[in-house]
Amino acid sequence: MAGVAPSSTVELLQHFHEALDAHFSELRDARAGFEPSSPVFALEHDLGMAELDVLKDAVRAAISDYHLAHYRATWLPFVVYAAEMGYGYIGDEYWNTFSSLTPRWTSQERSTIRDWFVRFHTHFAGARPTGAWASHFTIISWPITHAVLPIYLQRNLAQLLFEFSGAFTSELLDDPPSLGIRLARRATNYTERFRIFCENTTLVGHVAAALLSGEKEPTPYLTAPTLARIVEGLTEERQARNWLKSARASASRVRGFRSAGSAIADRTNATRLPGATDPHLFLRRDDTWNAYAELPDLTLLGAGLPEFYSQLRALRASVNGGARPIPPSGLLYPGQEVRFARWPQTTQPFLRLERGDDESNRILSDQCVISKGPWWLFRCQGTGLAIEVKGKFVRPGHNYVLLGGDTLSAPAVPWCTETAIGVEGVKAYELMVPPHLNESEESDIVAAGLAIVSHVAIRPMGIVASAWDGEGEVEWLAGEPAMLGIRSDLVPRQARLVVDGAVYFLEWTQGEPELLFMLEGLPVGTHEVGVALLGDGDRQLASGALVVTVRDPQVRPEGATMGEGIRLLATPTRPTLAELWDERAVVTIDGPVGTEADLWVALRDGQGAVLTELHRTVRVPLEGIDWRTTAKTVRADHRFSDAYDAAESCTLTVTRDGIGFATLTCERGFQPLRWRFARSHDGEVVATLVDRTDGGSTSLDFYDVEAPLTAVQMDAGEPFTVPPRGGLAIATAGDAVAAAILPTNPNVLMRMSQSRPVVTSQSDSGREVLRLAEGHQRWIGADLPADAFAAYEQQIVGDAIARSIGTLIGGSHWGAVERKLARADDAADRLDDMQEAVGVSSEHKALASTIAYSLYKWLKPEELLQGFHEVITPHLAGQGITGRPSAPRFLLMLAGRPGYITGWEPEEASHLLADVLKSPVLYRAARFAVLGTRALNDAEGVERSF
Amino acid sequence: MNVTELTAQDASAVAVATLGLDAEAIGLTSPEGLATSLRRAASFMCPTSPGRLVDAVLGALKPLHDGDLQRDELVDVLDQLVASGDLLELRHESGRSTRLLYLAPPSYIERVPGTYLLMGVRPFGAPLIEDELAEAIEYEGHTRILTVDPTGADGELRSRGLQRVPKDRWVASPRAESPAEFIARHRARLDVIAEAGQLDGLVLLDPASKVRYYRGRWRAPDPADSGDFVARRPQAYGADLWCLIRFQAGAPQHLLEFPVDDPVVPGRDEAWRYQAADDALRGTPQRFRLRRGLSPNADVTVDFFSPLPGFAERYVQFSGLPLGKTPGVLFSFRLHAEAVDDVTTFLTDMLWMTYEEDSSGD
Repeated sequence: MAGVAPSSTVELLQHFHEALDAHFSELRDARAGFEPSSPVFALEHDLGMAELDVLKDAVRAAISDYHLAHYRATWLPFVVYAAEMGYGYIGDEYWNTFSSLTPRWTSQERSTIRDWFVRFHTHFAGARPTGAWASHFTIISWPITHAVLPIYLQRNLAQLLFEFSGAFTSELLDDPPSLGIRLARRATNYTERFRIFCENTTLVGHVAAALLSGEKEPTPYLTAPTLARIVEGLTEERQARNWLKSARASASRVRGFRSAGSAIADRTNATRLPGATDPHLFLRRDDTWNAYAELPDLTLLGAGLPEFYSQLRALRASVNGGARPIPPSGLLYPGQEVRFARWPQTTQPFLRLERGDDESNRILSDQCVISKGPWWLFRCQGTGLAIEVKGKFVRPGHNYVLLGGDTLSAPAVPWCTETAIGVEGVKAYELMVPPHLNESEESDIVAAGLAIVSHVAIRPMGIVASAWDGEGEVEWLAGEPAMLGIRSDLVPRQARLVVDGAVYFLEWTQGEPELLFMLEGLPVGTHEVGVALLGDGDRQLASGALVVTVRDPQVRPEGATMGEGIRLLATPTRPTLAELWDERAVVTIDGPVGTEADLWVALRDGQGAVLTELHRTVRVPLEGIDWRTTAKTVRADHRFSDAYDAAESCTLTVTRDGIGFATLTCERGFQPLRWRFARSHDGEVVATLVDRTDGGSTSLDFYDVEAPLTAVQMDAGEPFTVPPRGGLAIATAGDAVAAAILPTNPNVLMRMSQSRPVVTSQSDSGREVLRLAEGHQRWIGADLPADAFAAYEQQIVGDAIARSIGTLIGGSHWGAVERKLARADDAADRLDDMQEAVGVSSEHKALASTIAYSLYKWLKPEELLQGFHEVITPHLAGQGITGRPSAPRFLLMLAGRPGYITGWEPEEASHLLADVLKSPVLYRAARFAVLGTRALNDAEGVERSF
Repeated sequence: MNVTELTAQDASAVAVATLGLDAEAIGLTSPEGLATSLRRAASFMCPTSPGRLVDAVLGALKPLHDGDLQRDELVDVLDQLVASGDLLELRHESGRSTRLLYLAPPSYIERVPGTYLLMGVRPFGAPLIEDELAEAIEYEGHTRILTVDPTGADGELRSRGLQRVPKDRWVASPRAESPAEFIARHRARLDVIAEAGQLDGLVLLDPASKVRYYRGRWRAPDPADSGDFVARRPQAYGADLWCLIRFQAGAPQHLLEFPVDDPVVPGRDEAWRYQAADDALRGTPQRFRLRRGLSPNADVTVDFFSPLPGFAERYVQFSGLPLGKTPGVLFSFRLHAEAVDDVTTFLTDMLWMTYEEDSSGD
């Protein structure tokens, strides 16, 4: 018997390469004719588990022997190996997982892996990563994309498919790219990592279509073994199994049911129909009528438009005529109501983002529109409420409120009487439309641009529609039958129904007052339903119309909706862990006034396990200021600070049995660079940079508290011991930055003599001021650890830099005051010195005196801004600074938080800075106002001050 | 897209199925159908007034059941949904104070291991339980009861986002006190309250009227009225405001708005308890009737002639099943024989009620 030598690594790789080449070529050819196209994934290797293990062993052996370049002829096993790593890794650090399972792997070879994936894309029509994440992570996006659906994201996809299942249509299931786009829009409430996965909408669509294909049904989008493997993974967990099963059942029900196609695509009519993103206008009678807009949740509009979404999240919006601005993120929550102080001007957009870019405001202007004037008609719903009828038609026997411009003449009908309304720019009239109108009344109504509908009413019936204005506009959720009734007091023979241009004739049962029918399978979008009642000889007896909106099922935000007993809102929405606890985000809790609720704060690790959980009792409503106090007590709790740096996410849960339940999940975020701190038993801290970037170009600058503007370059790859006073560490790799204030060692810190930070300035130029401001921004913009001493050191450095700017701009006399202030136990003792140092002329002394006597009235930032604006404006004009309404705010920022001026529009900042350097009295006045109000304020007030 | 012409019967069946109910067993205008329609309407419309909610459901159902659906039926079912914790009536601040309906959170209470009362409404029309477990829900009047294997039931329900609520927290009974203490406490508050202004549209509960006909107890104020009366004022937008008013010769002198003790209960709950105390002090306590079956272990029907405050209704609901209306009775529950003593004691302790036995059988 002849012995057989075991195959060498090279032979094994050759074997696998040839087999995979044949397999993937076959797959590519089979999918070549698909429309829309269907890419090939490296995970679709279809190797059995035993074979796969042999392949993995061969690849590991190969990597431990030679550089990858040695295997360039047998590259396919390596691509499969990398994709398998992507399938199994637990969402944290791909390369860490890779290297831990691959002996002697070196990071220098990462780019070779990417090159081979690119080759896979070229040779086999392989999938190509897309989306913002793929642009950022140019290497790992390849193996992770080719892993199709990593295990740790499978549960999320099952849940998303389940929640979206009401919106499935046969067309959508056959169109993976569109399905992917729709699913991505619905994923906004999911974890950041899953949202990143969803950015690759084509991939999401293909995976979803394959998963929904049904058990034992072949799918053209994934090979059967790959699909079976993912389904098996999904079904290991009960809840995920239930979700997938239910979603598949829904898909199975709709498959084969063809609809008329996209309403939006088919519409050739240029008339804009109302959409789901338009506001709903209504009147409510308080003492008089008041007008309100219920604003839409624009989260879906922001999906797929990251820049637009980030502006919605971070910027305040104004409503045309609104009595109050919408706070940042306010357009990302459903149900916001705004009262109109003035009626909106139809020549202006209804919504605008303050300081938003043109493109974002154009989207808002196109997508959020109120109906055109000159009249706006509201149908009374019982007493005290009237809802806009966008079609502007009145029905005999009903009551309406009509709004129109001050100068318009009301319809000259006897049942129209003026009524009071608390909105400027319009008059209101109550229309008590009689059951029968004479010809003259009809013509007066029509002359005003309104229409009269009589003898026919089209209305939803059977189930309560998700929205119904009582006349002309109705909304259902996708997947629900649109059940309608046509009621008439005439004797029609049939009804001619026109839905999006398609005509249907329905027989009217003699003697019945109402014709009932349903529309099934209306696609998501807005549709026009026109009805003509036909009598004998097809003579038209009456007609009417209805606008039907079908919208995707909405998902409850985790913070709850306006209709629930307890609501939790964060501004900005979906804050990161750092934003939440560094006080860059504010939480408010709304609920029944005066009741108590339980607040739970849980810090979790990367796998979702609870590291620590704290309980607080809060009284609702909890305003932003109350939140800051609560957050402080949480941060000060050692259980929290001990777990904070290791935490990957945090959940806030507010609950009261039977009343409400709301949560907020904050993640560390998928940060390319991140700091981790470990504290030894004696309090010493070691800082480690977690580098998830693809390249090896990461740099690290360290700034000591005592020399806060001097960067010391360090090795980013090596952990380092943090000085007892902490410091600032900034790691940079391309666009990715991780800036952190470092934790202190309180044990040593208490024994140290406290030397002040040294901040030197070289000249009194604008450039030097900007340099200092940038230094200030570096410190105040860095993430804080859960360490109160570190926050104190940050404040010390910030004050020192601000003082240096004060000395630089304010001049020597003012500089002396700054030095006194630095040593003062109580800054209030130096108020006279500050007042005296503002200026020497009588005009300057008068200015200083006015400020001094106003300080106690300016303890809130908004009071300070308004008061200082009034006081300084004449002096600005006197110095030739006109036409710059933001100048007072700029001065206060420069005086109090100079780092913030680095975010100012550069050209304007440069101009203003030059002006200030020419007229330092302006700066001294601002600095006096800021330091003076801080001296009189409590600690909370100082934190919120300029 | 398909267009299908429907008869009223077809449309009813489609509507019931769309609501997630069994169209073979449940009618659209049955208490179960009405409760589900109200829950659906609330899921889209809250916060809203009870009147708007009832109007919305009435508008959808009238085309199919014009003759056999009364507005009062919907109002009664809505009151039950509030009492049992599916919906909440809470104060809403928008320049002036109104009371509106909100959605209560998805929750459950264990009646006995394996049997759970479900409560709460999810927003946007989402069912409380969507997957196959929904098939195990039994709809009885306005209640939803889930019967599942008790092993792991908590996990099953929690994983679907339902919170377990202990019975005591759900019932949320106020403290026990005598009717005299209760009335004295409210009088003392009324003594020190500012004078009532002009009050329009007021109706009051006449304490001198018969306690067995609740609807007949309401009337407009009379010039002869003097003393403290439970009253309610309709609101342009919001739930009726319930109050205690001190009249002097038909003119309102002082007004105390309910709720007084607990801001998260509907005002009417405290008003009804006040009336129960007042009736008891007057020697005409409110009554309920027990109708026992033929055997000692047979279920017992409890008939009520006055509405129960939410806490008492929840207490009864915990052990019993709501029944359809019978003539001369406001509402009824069916109780297991062994639960009767406990419920009877509770009602006599907390609402100072008395009861009568009717052994003519169920």
